[in-house]
Amino acid sequence: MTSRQPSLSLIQGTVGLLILRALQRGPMHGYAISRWIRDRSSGALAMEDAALYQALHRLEARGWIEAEWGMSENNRRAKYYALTPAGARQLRKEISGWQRYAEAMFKVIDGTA
Amino acid sequence: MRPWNVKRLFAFPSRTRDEIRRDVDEEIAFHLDMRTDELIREGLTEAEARARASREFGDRHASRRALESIDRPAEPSRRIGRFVSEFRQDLAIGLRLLRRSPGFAAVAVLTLALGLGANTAIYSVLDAVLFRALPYPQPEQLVVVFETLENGNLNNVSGGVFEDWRRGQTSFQGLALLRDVNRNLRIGGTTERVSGIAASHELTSVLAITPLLGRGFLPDEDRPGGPNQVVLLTEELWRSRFGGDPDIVGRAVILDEVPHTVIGVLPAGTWIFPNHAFFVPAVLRPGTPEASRSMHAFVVLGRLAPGVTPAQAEAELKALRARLLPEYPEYKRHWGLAVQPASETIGGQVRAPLLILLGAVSLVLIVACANVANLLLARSLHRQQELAVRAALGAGAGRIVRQILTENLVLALAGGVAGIAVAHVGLHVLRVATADLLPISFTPRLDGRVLTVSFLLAVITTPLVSLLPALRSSRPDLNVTLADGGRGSSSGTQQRAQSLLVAAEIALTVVLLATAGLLMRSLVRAASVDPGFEPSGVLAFDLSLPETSYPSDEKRLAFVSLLLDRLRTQPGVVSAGTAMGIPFAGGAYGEFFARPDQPDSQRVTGRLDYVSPDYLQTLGVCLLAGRWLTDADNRIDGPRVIVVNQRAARVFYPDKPAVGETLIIAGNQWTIVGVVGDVVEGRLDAPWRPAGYAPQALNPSRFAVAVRTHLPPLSLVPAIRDAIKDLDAGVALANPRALDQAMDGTLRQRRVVLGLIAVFAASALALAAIGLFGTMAYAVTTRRREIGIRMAFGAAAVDLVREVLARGLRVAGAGLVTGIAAALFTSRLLASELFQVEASDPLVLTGTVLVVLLTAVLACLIPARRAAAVEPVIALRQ
Repeated sequence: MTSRQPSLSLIQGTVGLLILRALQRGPMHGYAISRWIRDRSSGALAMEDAALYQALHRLEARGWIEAEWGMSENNRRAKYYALTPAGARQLRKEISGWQRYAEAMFKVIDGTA
Repeated sequence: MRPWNVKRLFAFPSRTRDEIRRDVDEEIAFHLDMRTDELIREGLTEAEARARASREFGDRHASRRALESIDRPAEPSRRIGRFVSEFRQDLAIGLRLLRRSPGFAAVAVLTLALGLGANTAIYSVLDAVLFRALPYPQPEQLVVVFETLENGNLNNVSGGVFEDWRRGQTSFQGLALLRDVNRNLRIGGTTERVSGIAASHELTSVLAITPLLGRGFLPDEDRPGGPNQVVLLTEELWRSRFGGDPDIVGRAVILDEVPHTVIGVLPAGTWIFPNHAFFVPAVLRPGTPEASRSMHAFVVLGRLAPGVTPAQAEAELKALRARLLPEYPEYKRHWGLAVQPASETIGGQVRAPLLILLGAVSLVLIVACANVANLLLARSLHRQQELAVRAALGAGAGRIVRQILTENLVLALAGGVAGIAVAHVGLHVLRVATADLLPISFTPRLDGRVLTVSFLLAVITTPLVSLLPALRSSRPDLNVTLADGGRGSSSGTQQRAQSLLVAAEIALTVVLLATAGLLMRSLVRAASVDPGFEPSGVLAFDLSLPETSYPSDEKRLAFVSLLLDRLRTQPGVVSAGTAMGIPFAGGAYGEFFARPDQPDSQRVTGRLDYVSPDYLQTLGVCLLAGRWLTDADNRIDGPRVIVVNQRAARVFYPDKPAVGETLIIAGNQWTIVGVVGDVVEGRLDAPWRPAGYAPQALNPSRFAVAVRTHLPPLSLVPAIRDAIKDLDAGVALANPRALDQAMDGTLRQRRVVLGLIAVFAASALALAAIGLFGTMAYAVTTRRREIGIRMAFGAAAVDLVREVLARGLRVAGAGLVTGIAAALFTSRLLASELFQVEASDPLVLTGTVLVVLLTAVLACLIPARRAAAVEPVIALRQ
C-alpha cells in the first residue's frame, strides 16, 4: 500500500466489532490490529489510529479483551491484546446482529430495485 | 529466580498512575515506530515517515489523556478479571492433570476423602452436642444453678434454698425447680409406669415454650393447697397414648390413681430429654424434707434477665445466701453455689471424649494430607519440565505457586465431596453406636454448618498438601531441568522432603496408637473390675407405689412383702429383694458418714441404701463379718442396725473389727451388724465409696426390685407383670433389665470411643505405611542405575536389602522418637478417660513401638527386594 485511499467513514460502534473479530485469530498488538483491518478491507475501512486505541482500551475496561506485555516480532516490548471468554460471546452476538441488520437492509433495498 | 513470598502470590499486578501513563506512552510509541519503519521500507525518508505516521495517528496528546482516563478507573476490575481468568485456567489445568493420571487422582482423592469424611462425621456429633444452641428462644440466657459442696463439686439444690432464691433474686426472668418423677399412668384397664418431671410453675416461661394446646402452669398450681392435680403432656405421649385427642385439655388423666386435669400439651422436641413424658407441679409443702434446705433433690433451671451474665447472677445469689446463712443447716456453712450456662451443663459429660475424638480425627487428616503431599512431591518431579518451561516464559514464582495451589484445590475439593459420602456413612454408624450415650435428643446431622466446616477444612487442606511440592516447584533450577530433558532426577532435597513427611506421619500415628493403647488398657482394666456381686442371672426392675393407695409405710411394706412372696413362687426364681439403688441405676442417698467418737474430724460422703433382708444375698454379695439383715431387723420401729461395706469398715474402723461398733449417718446413730464386700454403684470405673445397707422398713418410700433366677432374666418379665397386676392393677413394672447387660452398658461409652480411636489409629498406620512404602519404592526406582553399577562391581543382594531396610527404619525411627515424645505429652490430655493406667504405661509404649517397627519393616520389604532384584546389565543399559 503506497498511499491512502479515500475510505468509508466507520459507523460509530463498529470499531469494537472489528477489533474483536481481529483478535479471534489470536493475541495481537494494536499496530497489527490496525494493519489487519486495513488489509482485510483492502484499505476501504480505515480510521484514525487514536480512535482504534481508544476502542481497544474501552474494550479492555469492559473485560471483553485483556492486555499483556509481550515481545513483538522485531523483539520490542509490545502490548498484546487477547479475547476473553466474555469478548468471544460479545463477538458472536454482534456478528449475528450485523447479519440480521444487513439481511434486513438488503431485503428492503432489493425490494425497491 | 525471584525469592518466593506469599505477598506476591495474592497481590495481583496493579498499576499506579505513573505506570499507566508509561504503558500508554510506550504503546503509542511502539505503534508510531512500527508505522514509521513500514513507511521507510516503502521508500519515504525517515522525517517524512515519522510525520505521516504521526498524522495518521491523530492528536497524540489528546489520545494519551483519553486512554489514561479509560484505564485508570478500569484498573481494579481489570485486576480481578485477570485473577479470575488465571484461576479458571489453573482449575482447568488441575482437572486435566487429574484426568490424565486417574490412578494418582483416585488414591489422592480417596485419602483426602477418608480424612475429611471422618472429620466431618466427628465434627457433626460435636456440633450437635456442644455447639448447636439449645432449641429455645435466646438459649444463651438459660442457666443451671447448683449448690456446691465445700470442695466446689456441683450438687443438686434443696427446695428451701430454691425458695430463698426465688423470693430474693432480681437477676433472672425466672427460676424453675425440676425433679424426675415416676407415675403409674392408668388408661382404661392397662397401667404403665411413665417418667416425667415435677416442676415449679415457672417451667414453661423459663424455657419460653408455647404449648401446642392449652397453657403452661399457673402460679397457683404449685402453691401448697392450690389446685395441684394438673398435668402437662408431651406431644409424644399425647399422640401415642391418647390418639392425639384434640379435646384432651380439661380431661382427667389417672396418674398414681389420682385424676389430674390436663392443662396443656407441649410440642414434640421442646423437652430435650426424650424419656420424660409429662410434667406435674412440684409442690413444696412447708415442713416436708422437700421444702427444707437440706434435701438436695432438685435441678434448678434459670433464664437470666437481659444483659445479666451468669457471673453477675451468681454474685447476687451468693450475697443472698450470705444474708440467710444463719438459717442454713450447720453443715452447709461452707457450701457455695454456681450458675452455669445450660449448654455447658448439658453437653458436659461427653465433652472430654468428644474433644479427644476430634483431636484424634484431626491427626488422621494431617497424616492423610502428608501422604497426599508425598504423592504430589513425587509427581512434581515429573512436572519439573513443564513448570520450568513456564518459568522460562516469565511466570514468576508466585504465579507458579498459585497455579499449584489452585490445582490442588481441585484435588482437595474432590476429596471434600467424596468425604461427604464417607461422612454420611460414618455418621450412620456413629448414630447407631452412640444412640443412648448422647445426653440429649439431639442427633448429629450433616447440616449447612457442618458442611461449611467440611468445605473450609478442604480449603485449609490445600496449602497443607501443596506447601512442600509448591516450594520445590516454584524455583526449579532451569538450566539443570531443561538440560535434563525431562527425564527427572531425584535430588537429595526431594528425598529429604519425602522422608520428613513420612517421619511426621509416623510420629502422628504413634500418638494415635499410644492413645488407642491407653484407652484399650483402661477398658480392659474397667471391664475386669470385680463388681462385688454376681450380675448374671439377676433381673432388676423399677416400681412406684401411688401415694393415694399407699399413704403409709405399713401399706408399702405390706405390698413389698406380698410382692416378694409372689416373686419367690415364680418358676425359675431363686430369691428376690428390694433396694433403693440397684447397681448401675443410682437411687440411694448420698449422706455424710462419721464415727461417733470423731464426729466432725472426717466428713466422708457415703451411700445409704434401704434394702429388704435378702437383697444382698440375691445379688450374691459376700458377707465378710457379722451377719446379714434379718426379717427381725426389718420392722418399722426396729433398731437402727446396718450392714456396711468393707470400704466403710476400713475407713472408719481400721484399727478394730467394725461389727458391734456404731456410725453416724445422716445425723442418726447406727449399729454395725455385718460387713459385706464392696458393691459397685453406677459404673465399674467410678470411684467407690463407703456404703451402708439399712433395713427397708426404716424408709420404704422408694424401691426397685432384684430377682435372682436360673432362667434368662428377661424371660421372667411377662409373668412378673401379670403377678403385679394381680396384686394391684394400678401399679406397673418399668425398666426391666438384666444386670449383666446393665453392667456391660456402663462401659459402652468407653467402647465406642476406643473403637473410633482404634479405627483412626489403624487408618493412620495404614497411611503411614503406604507413605513409607511409596518413598522407599521411589528411592529404589530412581537409584536403579546406581544400584546396577554397584551390583556390577560385586555388591551382594543382601547388602542392598539391608541398606534399604536401614534407610526405611531410620525414617521410622525418627518418627517413633518424635511420636513417643509427643504421645507422652498428649496422653496427659487423656487423663479423664484413663482408668488405672498411667499416661506413660510402659506396656502401651512398647507395644506401639513394636507395631510401628513391624509395619515399617513390612513396608520396606518389597522395595528392598526390588533393589536386590535389579539386573545390573538391564539397569545400566537404560
